Amino acid sequence: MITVKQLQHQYPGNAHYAVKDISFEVQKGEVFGFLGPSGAGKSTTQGILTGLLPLQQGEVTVAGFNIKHLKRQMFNAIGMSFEQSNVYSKMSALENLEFYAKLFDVPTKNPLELLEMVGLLDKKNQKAGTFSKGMKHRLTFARSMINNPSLWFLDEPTTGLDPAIAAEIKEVIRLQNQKDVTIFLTTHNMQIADELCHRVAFIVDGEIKLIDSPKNLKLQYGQKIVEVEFLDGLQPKRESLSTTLEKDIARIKTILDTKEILTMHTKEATLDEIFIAVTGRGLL
Amino acid sequence: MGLKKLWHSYIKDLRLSSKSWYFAIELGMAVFILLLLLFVMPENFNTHAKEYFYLNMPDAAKEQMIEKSVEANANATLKQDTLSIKKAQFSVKVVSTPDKTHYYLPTAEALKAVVEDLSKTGIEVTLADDMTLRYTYHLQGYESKRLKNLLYMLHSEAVDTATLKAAIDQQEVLVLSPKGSRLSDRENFLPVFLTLNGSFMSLFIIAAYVFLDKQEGIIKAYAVTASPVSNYLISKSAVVVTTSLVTSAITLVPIVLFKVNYGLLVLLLVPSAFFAAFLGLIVTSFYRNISQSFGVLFGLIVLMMLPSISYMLPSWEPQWMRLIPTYYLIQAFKEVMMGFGNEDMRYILFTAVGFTIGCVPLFAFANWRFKRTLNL
Repeated sequence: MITVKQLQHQYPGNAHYAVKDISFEVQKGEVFGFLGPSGAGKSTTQGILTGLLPLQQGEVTVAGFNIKHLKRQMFNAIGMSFEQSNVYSKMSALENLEFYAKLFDVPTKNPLELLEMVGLLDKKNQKAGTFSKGMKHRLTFARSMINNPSLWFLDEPTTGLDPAIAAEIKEVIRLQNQKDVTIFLTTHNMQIADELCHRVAFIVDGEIKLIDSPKNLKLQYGQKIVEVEFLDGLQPKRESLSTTLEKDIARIKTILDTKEILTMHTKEATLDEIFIAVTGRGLL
Repeated sequence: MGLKKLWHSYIKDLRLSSKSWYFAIELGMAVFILLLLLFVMPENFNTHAKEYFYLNMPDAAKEQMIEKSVEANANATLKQDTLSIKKAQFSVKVVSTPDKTHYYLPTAEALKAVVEDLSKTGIEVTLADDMTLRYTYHLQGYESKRLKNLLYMLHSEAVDTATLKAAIDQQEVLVLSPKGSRLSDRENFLPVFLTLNGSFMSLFIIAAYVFLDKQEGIIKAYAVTASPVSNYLISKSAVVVTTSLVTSAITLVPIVLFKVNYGLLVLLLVPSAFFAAFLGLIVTSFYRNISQSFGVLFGLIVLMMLPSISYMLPSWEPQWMRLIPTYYLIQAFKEVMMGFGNEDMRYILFTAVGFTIGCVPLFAFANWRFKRTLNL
């Protein structure tokens, strides 16, 4: 769905490349996470993929269209949800969606259904300018689905949303993906990437450091250790035991047979920890 | 399909602009100028001269002089009137003719009030011992050297004014364009208004609209739809042109009514407003907000306005002025104001076509700039 080969980008008046020779592919139906700290080159890459920035060097194909010779028809196939909400503040939520629906050449979604999906149906006639930041964000998110995109670009889709709404938005993303929609997710929120992405790319200083699935990364970078907390008589005790050493496996069995277990969990690495381990950089 | 999207964008922009302050300001300005033209600016500026005399002489001589003044003109009338200056009131004798009015003031205090409070030239006339008249002019201080010389000459005994007048009357005066129509002073102002309304308002208003959209990130959202960015630019410009037509009509129609060819007027207004709007788009493509672009916008507006100075003061018309497009626009609007049959059709069409041709590279450049600066 997306093919990027040796992409480079330099902003005018800046000696450094914002994106340095990156290459990757996103398969149809995949949720691909593009992760990195601010200024890493995420937005620049996404800007090029969505035609907001001109292609300077490299080859980019998006939804079967060569970005070098950008055609407006490409935008019938893609949807873009921006991190910064950008809706007409003097128009109502419904008017916003109705207007954008008229700018595509393909069958569009019913604006009322979209508003219901993001929990704004009861606010359909309210001016977007009166919305809270989170509500505007949801409206921007809903708008990006108006043309039934087969490739969906999401930039920080849950930023600024309360946990309940964020969970609903994640559910919408999952549902769309189940309908074979390819998703390119740009974020610095590792938790959402972990929950939603089939594969993630770590980008730092304009370079992709790694591309793999969250599961593989955890297996590769996580420690194979079980932490057990149990009662020894009346005293609570805690032990860290390897899941690969014979004597530790035997000890785990003994504890399970003879002690009362309080807590027990494997020591998995989080994506944040893996990102730091791979790039040597934090995400903020 | 493309035109349908453009139409939707245009209708949306028109609705949004009608709710904006800028639209209200434009309408308000048009109404304000109309009221100014109708109720403050006269149809023609008054060339009727008013002169204020204080005859500092015995009453008999005073009466004789006023009588002579009435007798000198067959159409002259004499009446007693009251002249109110601030809180003071003076009983004056007024001698009126079609081209001038003489006020004969009763006292030196009245003369002082005329000079100081009305800021008019006052003339004190005294009778010398040899029974000749002496004139003392109380000027305001800004009078030209030429006027002062004229006054010296008028009262110089070396010049025989009667002979001078006879010589002037005998001079042959040829009217080069006897059929040429003239605009009233009020109508004469309209070409300047129409030009400024297009160049000044269109340039500024489109910049305001686009910067507002930039601030809200609307352009980015539009750029990822299947509607080309050019549609966005054209619909914004079309809204500005529509407003320009509406505001021009508000000011123009009540003044000229059915005198002018409105088809020709629209033919000029549309390309010239598009021209200014496209120029505004180019400027906005280089900046993030209106305050950053203000210097350039202001410079362009001043440049566009310069030909209006030449129009009002024809003696100042340097050659380089002809390089400014609005120079031709003002003249073309003036031709339209001449009315049916009197206008120079070729000049109007030439100007309209010139602006239309000028719009093409401006729009192409604006579109090219916007495509490359969507993230700005």
